[in-house]
Amino acid sequence: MKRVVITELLPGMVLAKPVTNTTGLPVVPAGAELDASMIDRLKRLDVPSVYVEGDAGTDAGKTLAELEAELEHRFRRVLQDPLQQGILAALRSHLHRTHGNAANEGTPATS
Amino acid sequence: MSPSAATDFRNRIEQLGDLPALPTVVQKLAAMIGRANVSAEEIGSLIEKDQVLAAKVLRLANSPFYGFPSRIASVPHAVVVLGLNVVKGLTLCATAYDIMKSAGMVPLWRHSLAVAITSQILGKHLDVKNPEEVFVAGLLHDLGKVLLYVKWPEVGAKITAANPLGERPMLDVEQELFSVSHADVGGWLANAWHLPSTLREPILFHHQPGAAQDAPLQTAIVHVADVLVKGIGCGHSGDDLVPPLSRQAWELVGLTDQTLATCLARAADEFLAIDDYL
Repeated sequence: MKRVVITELLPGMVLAKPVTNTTGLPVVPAGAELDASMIDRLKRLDVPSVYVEGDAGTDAGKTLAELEAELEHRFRRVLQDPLQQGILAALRSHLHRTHGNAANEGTPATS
Repeated sequence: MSPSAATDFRNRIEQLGDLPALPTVVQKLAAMIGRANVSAEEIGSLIEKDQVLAAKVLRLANSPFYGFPSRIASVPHAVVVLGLNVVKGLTLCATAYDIMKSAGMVPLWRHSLAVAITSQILGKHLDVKNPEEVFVAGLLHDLGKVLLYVKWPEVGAKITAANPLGERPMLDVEQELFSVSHADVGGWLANAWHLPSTLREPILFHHQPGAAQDAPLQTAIVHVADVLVKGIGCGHSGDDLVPPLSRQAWELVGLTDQTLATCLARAADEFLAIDDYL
């Protein structure tokens, strides 16, 4: 999933989250494929950006285990610091939350 | 590098004419801001003479990251609502972006943008007076790297050759080879551009936030944001190592487990849209 500002939307993109109007009512469902007229409609709704299918940046196609290994690798020189351990734990929890694997929640932050 | 060579290095940097592709409009802007009675209209109309630059400044000012509630339609309007320092910073950002993009440093721009977004999120959390300015400080914090690698490719090549796999922090390698870091170079540049200390200190001291005198909070915010962004792994700034965290800065920013989780979630959500601004 990635977030795209309205002006950068292209026909053929598929909504990953429903678009709601200012009162919170869904106006376009998740899974809808955008065409030119729908993009025009979204522009009139005055929403700044929407979520569409597709990966953002370089995380494309990586598994949770790979992402977690990379995360730990980035902290390899600062792990003796309890504050950094706390940040790592928070990032690990975030990774698990966003990759739909809540059963494997990371260890709680120590700071 | 010997002390005299470092001084010589510094002198070269401080010659404004020697800076990479610094548009004349930015040089004129620096001179104009030095005057006491300069108006928003004067500044705005100067920037608007350069249509491309004006468009970029407005694009940044209106980006969703920036989160200004209403649309900013003109540069003078931007000066009034965002303040002179922010507009000046955005002008430099647009310039720095051009340099990074043409030098193939898009990953550094992505990192800078991520630090800017995170700084602003932390700034709003701490209720700082001018979160837009903290955003600009984050965007400019690695400006010294642009200069080191673009203006002095021989310096950049030596640093890269000494650390080909990015296994050591760039900061350590720079200091070992040249007794000068990208933070120092960025600080000199901020001086040469007459940036206020609220922007200069976060650039100069983002690796040693305790040294900040005039803007300790802004400096601490950019320092913590840099650590968090390197942890998240958004963009690339030369190595993939999370830098050491200053306890003093961390305490100044004062995140709890709960607010840290909230700020991280918000930042990661913003990063999903980052490629629209590359």
